[in-house]
This record gives sequence, structure tokens and C-alpha cells, in this order.
Amino acid sequence: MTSPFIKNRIKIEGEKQEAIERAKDRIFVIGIAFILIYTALVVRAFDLTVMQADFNIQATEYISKGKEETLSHRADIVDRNGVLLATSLKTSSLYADAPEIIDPKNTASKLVKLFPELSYGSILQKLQSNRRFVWIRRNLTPKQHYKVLEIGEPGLKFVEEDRRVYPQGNLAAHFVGYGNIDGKGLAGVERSFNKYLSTSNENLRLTLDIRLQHILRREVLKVMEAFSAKAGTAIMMDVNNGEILAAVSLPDFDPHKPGDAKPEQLFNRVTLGVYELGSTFKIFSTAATLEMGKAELSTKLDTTKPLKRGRYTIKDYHPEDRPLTVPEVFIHSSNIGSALMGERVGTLTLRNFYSDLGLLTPLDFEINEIGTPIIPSPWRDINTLTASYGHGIAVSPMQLVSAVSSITNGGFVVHPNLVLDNDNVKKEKPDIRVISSETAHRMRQLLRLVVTDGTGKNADVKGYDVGGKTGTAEKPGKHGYDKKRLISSFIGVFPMENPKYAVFVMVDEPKPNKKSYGYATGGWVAAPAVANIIKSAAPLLGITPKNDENIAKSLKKYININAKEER
Amino acid sequence: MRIVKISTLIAVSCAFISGATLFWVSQKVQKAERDIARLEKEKNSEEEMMRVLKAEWDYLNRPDRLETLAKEHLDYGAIDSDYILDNASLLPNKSPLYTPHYKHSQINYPKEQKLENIIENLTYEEDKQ
Repeated sequence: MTSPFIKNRIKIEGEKQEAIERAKDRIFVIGIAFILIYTALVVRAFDLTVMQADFNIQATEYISKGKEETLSHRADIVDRNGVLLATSLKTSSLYADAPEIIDPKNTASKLVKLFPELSYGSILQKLQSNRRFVWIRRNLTPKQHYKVLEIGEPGLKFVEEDRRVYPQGNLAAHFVGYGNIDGKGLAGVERSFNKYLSTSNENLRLTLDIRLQHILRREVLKVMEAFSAKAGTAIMMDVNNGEILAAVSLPDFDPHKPGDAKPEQLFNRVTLGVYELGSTFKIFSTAATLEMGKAELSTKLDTTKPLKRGRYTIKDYHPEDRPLTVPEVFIHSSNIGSALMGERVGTLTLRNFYSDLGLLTPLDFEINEIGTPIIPSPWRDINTLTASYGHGIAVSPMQLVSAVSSITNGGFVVHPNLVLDNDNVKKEKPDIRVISSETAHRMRQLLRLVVTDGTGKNADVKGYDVGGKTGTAEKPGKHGYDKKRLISSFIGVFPMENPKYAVFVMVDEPKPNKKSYGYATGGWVAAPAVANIIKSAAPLLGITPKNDENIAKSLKKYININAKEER
Repeated sequence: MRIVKISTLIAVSCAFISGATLFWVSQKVQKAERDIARLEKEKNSEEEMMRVLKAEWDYLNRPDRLETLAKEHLDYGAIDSDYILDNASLLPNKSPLYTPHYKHSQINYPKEQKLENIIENLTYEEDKQ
């Protein structure tokens, strides 16, 4: 039998042979190509399974983690000098993948040993729940993380989470605020700027300065202790652009543990609390009187006997037995005199003036904790008289400070603000006027006179030309005003020649002590605190002390210096 | 028998070379990607560390702590307005130079609570339930 190939070969000749040669070539080339392809596949398979086996797992992990970690932080909150007030740090949180837990009882008892605040029963329940994800404990320290790993239970797993940390602790707690465990802001700037903080990469810079914040807090704590007071508040504001440099509300709380704080600690007395602030309101009624030309400085007001209007009687704490001039009414803080001035100004005018100063509507401010002022409704003529010396009208301390700033900065309306505008640090004064520059100058003289010759002598600081006004108000009790429960305050402004800063201190229910000769009034409680604050803060603020002549000198002719000393 | 045409040989070797080059390049790229990922991770962990250190720095520089330390270890206090002059020529010619003297040659810093301990002591409302 002959091979079919041989048979074929015999047949192939001539032109056909060429075609066969070509086919052979092609087979050869295709063969080579397949060999190359398979070699490449083998090499690649070797590369993937042996050479890169390790790296691949890690690389995917690196890449996914790298992407996750960028952009995930909640933005920091810093003070005006860039000091951290709130920041986010990564911590690991522990959860259980319940079906993977091998020995729930043993694991639960070990976890309870590690975290005594957890209860054995609830942990055991969680571990046996068959859920793929149950929180055990969030935000662990590295040490705790390590100890949990030591338990060696494969069902205990970790995720990395942000933890909000407040390095300054209590210092600015009411304004910075706090959040819940998921990082959502619940108070202060954390709440009102929640969206910005959770989406932005840039810090939120506040107008606060923690050094000043500390000075205010220190001094208010000192006063509260000295007079066994219930609460205290202090504010420092730039009178020209409204920046809040510092503001404290005491008692305060630790923003890391807001759950442990009592309601009175969480309460923001600076912006949310409204109080009848008393005589500090005489600044506004006096300014209105002078602005409307209803009285001259030399005008004498009859303060010798209690003022009767309808069924109301207005008395002075320490009545003078002679008619007083306008500066005397102001520096001795006569309620009768101020009520008479308010009467001269008239209900509608005084009410509009208070409204222009922002005292009758809730404050426009960058946090959500804002109190609504309590104003007389309906506003009768008698309310005009009492509102002239700060009774029957309750506003927040922040409102008072901004209204006083508007008067003393030359008469321009300022609004308090808490978030620093970087591009606009040197803001120009707003051009809405409440009083003329002449009246503003008069008011600055009068405020200085209170400190040199009146109820505010304890607020004087040599070289810084402090001016201000005391306020002592009785708190409303069950049966009318309670003489034993006072709100004592002092609003100071310095330097009086060209005011830059306003400092307000308010003390809630101070008890008189021996040092104050049995007084618990604004002049004895709050004025010395304001003096201490200015003494410590002025060098920090870079204000050169001057011993120029007193700007209130020209007003001395209107006051009788031999009159009985009163504080 | 003519085995392969020259042109075919060239094409095949071109394909081989380009294949090999491609493989080599892809290896390089993968290595570079691994490097990037590693560096990225290192950078992130450094950044995280910086955040922690910055928080700790600001925590340790709390004004009340600095005040306490200054009171304890330094002789300096707040400047009285009497000592601030706006004109240096007002100074007397032979002003006694102030020579600092240190009460404490060696400063023993008080043991401070670490930020870590603060985080450790945090309590949550949900824990209490």
C-alpha cells in the first residue's frame, strides 16, 4: 500500500508546487506565532501568579485607601491667629461581624474587661444577633485597638473614623459648639456651619482670640467665686467692625462630653439669654435725649422726690436731695432723672431709637442660639419711662454690647460677627448713622466721667482711658422685683479718645462680701473685673498707654464734686 | 526550500520586540503605580501624624497652662502701663540693666495629661444606654 502523501507528491508539480511551498511557509509562520503567543501567556501567567502575587493585593489596598483618606476630614475651626479650636483626628472604631464570632461568651467577657462602661449582657446579645455589622465601641485609642486585636476573635473588626477633638476644651465651647458621634454639629458654629465644615477643605477662621478668651474666662471665674455668683458672662468686641474678640458664658462645659453637662452649663448666656440689664440702658436714653435736643448738659432735672406716673412710682436707690444736671444723672445713675429724659424724648422716638440700635429684634449673628428680646407689648408711655433706665425690657448681652459700640464708635451701626473675613480685615466703617458725631463725642465724655467721677471708678485703668457705665438690675421674682437677686454688669469702652474695644461683664446673682462693703452692684462686682480684663488685654492688643488729659474735663463744670460720694 | 520571506521575518521580529517592550513598559507602570500608592499611603499617614501633633501642640499651649507654667518658672508678669513709653529718649541715661536670674536652673515640667488620654476618657451618650 502506498501512502497517500506519496501519491500526492507525485502529482504535485510545476505551478502547483509553488502554492504548496507557500502553504508550508504559512504553516511555519503560524506555528512560530502560536509558540510566541503561548510563551507570552506562560510568562504573563508566571508574572501574575508568582512575581506579583503579593504586591497586587497590597497595591489595590493602597490605592483604595489612598483615595479614601483624602477629602474625608471635617474642616478645622481655628481662632483669628490660627490656633486650633476644633479638629478631626482618625481613630479606629470597633464593630462585630456577628456570624463570624466563634466564642461569643468568652469574647463578651473579655470586651467588658477592656471597656468597663459596656455591659456584658448587651455585648453578648450583639455578638449573637447574626447581624453582619454591630457597633461595639467607637473611637478607640491605639492601645485599646491593640488589646482588642489580642483577643484574637476574627469577628471583631475595625473601621477608621473621624473623631472631633477640641484642644482648647471649655474655653470657647459655647461658640465653637459640639457635635454628635457621627460628626454632625449640634451647637455653636459646628451647627450653623455644619454644611461648610463637612464639605470644605479650608479651615473656618473665627474672630475669637483664645488669649483674650482666656483672660475673660479667668476674670469672670474670679468674680463669680468672690461673690458666690450663679453665673457670669463677658464679651469683648471691636467697636469699629463688630468682630467678637472673645465671649464667655459661665458655667461652661467640656465639648468632648456635652452629654455630661447640665442644662445651665450648655445654655449660652451671651446670645441666647435675655436679661433686664438696668442702668446700662441709660446710655441709650441719654444719647437719644442729646441727639433730639430735648435737654442740654446743663439742664436740671428734678430728682428730689419719687416720680409718680399713674399707679407707678419710680424711685432712686440713693436719692439726691437736689435737682441734677444731665451729666450728674448719668454718673450717679439716677432712675428718676433718666425716666424724665425718656419722657422728654417721647414714646415713639425712643422706641424707634432702640429699634435702630437693634435692641428690639433678635440679633443677626452666625450661630443659631439667639434669644428674642422681651419688649413691652403694648408699649405704653410708662414703658418708655422704665425702658429709659433698662427695666421692663430684656435683651441679650451681645445686643447691648453692639448697641453701645454703635454709640461710642462715632455713631455708626455695627453688627457683631464671629467668622473672620480674611479678605476684608480692615473693614471700612458702615455708613448707617444712629447719632451724630457730636452726640457720640458727648457720650464718650459722659462715659469717661462715670469712671473718673461716678459709679464706675473701680473700672479705671491707668493709661488706657476707660469709659463705661454700671448696671444693677433686680431680677423679677414671684412678687415683683426681688431686691436680693441682682444682675450686676459693667460695659466698658477703651481708649475713650478713639474707642477701639468694648468690654462687658455681667454677673448673675452676686452675693455681697466684706471687700465690697456689702454691695453687690455693678460698680463693685463687674467694674473691677472689666478693669482687670483691660489691664491684661491692652498690652496684647498693642495699645500704647497714654496719659493725655482727660476728655471728660470740660464736663466737670456740670457736676457738683462736693456732692455725696456714691457708687 | 525557501523558509520565510525576509519581510515576514522582519514583521515577526517587530511584533516580538514590540510585545516585549510592551511587557516591559507595563511592568514599569505597575511598579510605578505601586510606588505611588505606597508614597500616597506614607504621605497620608504623615499628614495624619501632623494633625495629631498640631492638635497636641495647641493642646499643650493652652493659655491657662502657659499661665500656670509661667507663674511657676518665670519672674515675668503682665506689664504695667507705667513701664511703656512711646519715646525711648525719655529713658534716663544710665538705666540699670536688667539681669535676669532664674529661680529654677532645671525645669521639671509637670506631668501633663496626654491628648490620647482625653480621647480614652470620652464618654458617649450611647454608651450609657
